Amino acid sequence: MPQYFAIIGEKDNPVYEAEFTAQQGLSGQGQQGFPQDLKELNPFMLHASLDIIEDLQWQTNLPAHSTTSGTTGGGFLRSRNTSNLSNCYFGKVDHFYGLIITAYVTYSGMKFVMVHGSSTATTAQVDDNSVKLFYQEVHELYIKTLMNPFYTPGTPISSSAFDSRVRTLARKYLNK
Amino acid sequence: MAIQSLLVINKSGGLIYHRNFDNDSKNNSLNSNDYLILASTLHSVFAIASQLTPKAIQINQNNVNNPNNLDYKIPYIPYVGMSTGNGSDNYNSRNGGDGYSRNDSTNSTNSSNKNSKLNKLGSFKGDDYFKEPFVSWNKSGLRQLSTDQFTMFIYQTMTGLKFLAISSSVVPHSQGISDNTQVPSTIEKSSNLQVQIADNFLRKVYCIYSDYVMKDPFYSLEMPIKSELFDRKVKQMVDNLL
Amino acid sequence: MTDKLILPSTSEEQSNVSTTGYEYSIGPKQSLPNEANSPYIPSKLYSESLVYKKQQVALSSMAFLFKEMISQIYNNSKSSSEFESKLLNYGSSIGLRLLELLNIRASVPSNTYSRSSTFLSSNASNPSSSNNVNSISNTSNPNSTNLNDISNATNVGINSSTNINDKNYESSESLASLVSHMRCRDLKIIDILQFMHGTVWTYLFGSPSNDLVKSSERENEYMIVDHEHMLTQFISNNNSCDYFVCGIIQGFLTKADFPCTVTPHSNNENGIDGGVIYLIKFDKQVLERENLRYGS
Repeated sequence: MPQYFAIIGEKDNPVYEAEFTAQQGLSGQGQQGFPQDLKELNPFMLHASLDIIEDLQWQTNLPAHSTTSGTTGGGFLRSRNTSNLSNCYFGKVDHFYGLIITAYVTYSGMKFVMVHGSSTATTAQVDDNSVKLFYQEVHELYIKTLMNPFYTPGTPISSSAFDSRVRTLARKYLNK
Repeated sequence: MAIQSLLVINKSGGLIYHRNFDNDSKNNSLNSNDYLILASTLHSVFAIASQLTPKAIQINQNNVNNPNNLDYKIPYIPYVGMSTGNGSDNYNSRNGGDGYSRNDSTNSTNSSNKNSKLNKLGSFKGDDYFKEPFVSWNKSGLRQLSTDQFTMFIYQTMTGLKFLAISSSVVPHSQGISDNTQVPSTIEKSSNLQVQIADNFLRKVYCIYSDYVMKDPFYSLEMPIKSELFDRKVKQMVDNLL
Repeated sequence: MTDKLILPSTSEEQSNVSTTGYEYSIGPKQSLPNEANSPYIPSKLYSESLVYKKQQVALSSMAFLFKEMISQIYNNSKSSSEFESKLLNYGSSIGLRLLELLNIRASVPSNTYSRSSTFLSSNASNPSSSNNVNSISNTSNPNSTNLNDISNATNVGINSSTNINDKNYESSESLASLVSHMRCRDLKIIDILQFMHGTVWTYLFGSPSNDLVKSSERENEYMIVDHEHMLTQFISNNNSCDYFVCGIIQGFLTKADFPCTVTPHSNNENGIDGGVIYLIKFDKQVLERENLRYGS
C-alpha cells in the first residue's frame, strides 16, 4: 500500500514530497510503489484536493455531521474519526478512483497531504488513528526544521535528516 | 542634602551632561559655555590632584593592616534616592541595618508595589540598585570639594567617567576627607557620612547611566547625553533625596 | 547545472539518492529497498526535544544585543521607513516560528506538567508553572504573580518553569507522541489575539500583556497594551524600535492567515511612561471571512 506524501506551502508550492512503499520480504524485493502512470498523476490529485482543504480549514465545527451530504462544502468524504478537540487533522478529504486523500493543516497553514494508494484493486483503507499520529510527528519534525535559523520558511526542505526521519515514521505508522 | 546640579564628564574632559535642579532661575547665571569650561577645569584639577596625592598615602594603601590608611571601601547605605514604599525617608532607613529586614517585609506583603518599583529600576533586580558595599575607583583623585557655599562630590568610574554632584549643604569646619585624621571625630563622622551618601547616590546615577545611556542604540560614546529617560530617572532620584 | 534540470518522473532513480534529502527539481523520492537498514543520520536539530526548558537570558545582555541589532539596521538603512520595515521583517521571522512552536507546546497535556512539578521545590517554581498553564487556557492571572514571577519578569527569554526531570521523556525526543489532541487552530480573531496576549507574551516577556482592547470606532482594529515594553524600555523617545515587536505580532498573525499590519504607538500620558500600544489592523478579507463563516 504505497503513499504519496507532500507538504504544501502557502503559495501551493511543494515544500517536501516523498513516496512510501511497503516492504515485502526480507530483501525488500517485492515492494509495491505506485504504477508509473499513477505516479505522475499523484501531484495533480493532491493539488485538486487543496480547495477542499482550504474550505475545511475555516470550519469551526469539525464533527462529521456532513459526511452524508455531498452538496455542502467539501466535507462529503470526511471520516468520522475527527474530534472536536483538535482541528488540525481533517481525515479523508477527497478520493480519486479508489485512492484516498487525507490532509492535516499546521498552525501556520502548511498543508500536509497524502495520497493513499491501494495494493489491490479494492479501495484503499485508511487507519485514521495511525495516520493522525504520523501527521503529528511530521508536524513536530517540521517545527524543528523551522527552528533552524538557516531555513527560510516556505522553501523546500532538503535536509536528509528530515527525510530519513519522515521515512522512519512512515514505516512506523503507515506500512507496518 | 539637596543636590543643586549634576554633571557628567567623559574621560577626555568633555561635559556630556549637566542639569540644574534648583528652581531659582536667578541662580542659573552660568551659560552652557561656562559649564563646558567648568567641566574641563574640574577635569584638569582632578588630574592634578591625583598627582598631588602624597606618596605616603599611596604606599599606605597597599598596607591592609594599617589602621590609618584611607578606606576606599564605601559602605552601602540603603535607599539613598529611592522612593521607599512605606513612606519612611532616607534618614530612617539609613540608621542601622534595618534596610534589609524592612525589605523582606515589603517583599512578602505587597508584591504589586514591588512590581511597579521594579519597572523603575530597569535591568536591576530588587528594590535598590545594589545592596553591597563597593570599592571606590577614585583612589588618587579628588573626592570632595568643600566651600562655604557648596560642597561638591565626585564619583569616578573605572572607565574614567566622572559624575559630579554639587550640593547646597556645607560641611562644618571640615577640611575634606584627605586630612580627616586630624579633625574631631564627630565632624569626621558627619563628613564621612556625607561622602558616603554622595558616593552611593552617584553610583546609582551611574547605574541609571548604564541602563538608559549605554543601552540606547542612538547614543554615540563620549557625546552629550540627550536621553529623556535618563533625564527623568535622575530627576526622580534627586527629588527622592530631598 | 545539468543535475538541476527538472527530470521527468519516469527517469531512473538516482544512485546517490539515499544520502540526500528531498530535491525540489527531482520530485518525490521513492523509498529504497533496504531503507530500514540505512544508516541513521544524526542531527542535533531533530534530536533536540521541543519541550519547555527553563532558560533565561539576562535583561542587560538582551538589551545590549537588541541595541546592537538596532544600530546595525539603522546604519544600513537610508530612510526611517526602510529601517522600520527591516525591523519588522526581523520580528516577523520570529513571529511565524513562534506560531508553530508555542501551539505545539500548548498541545502537550497539562498533566505532563503536574507530573514534573512534583520534582520542583514547592514554593519556588510552582506559581509560574501554574501561570503557564493558565495562560494556555487564555486567562491572565495577575494575582498569582508572586516574587518569583517578578524576578523572572526582568528576564527576557524562554520563561517557563517546567523542568522535565524525566530522563526517559527527554530521550524520546518526540513531543507529538505525548499529544492526544493537538491544540485547536485559532480560527477567530479573538481566539488568536487571546493566545497572543496570554501565551505568546508570557513566553516572550514573562507575563501576559497588560491589556487587549478592541477599537470602538473601527471594526478591524485591536490593540495590545504593554506597560513594560521590555526590549525598548531603555530607548528614549523612539517608537520605531518597537517595530521589532510589531513584526513578531504581524508575522505570527499573518502566518496564521490573519493578514494585518501592526504599528506601535506610545502611551505616554502627562509625561508618564505608560508603555506601548500595538495597534493591529486586520485586512478586510479577515473580517469578511469572519462574517461569512461565523457571522450570525
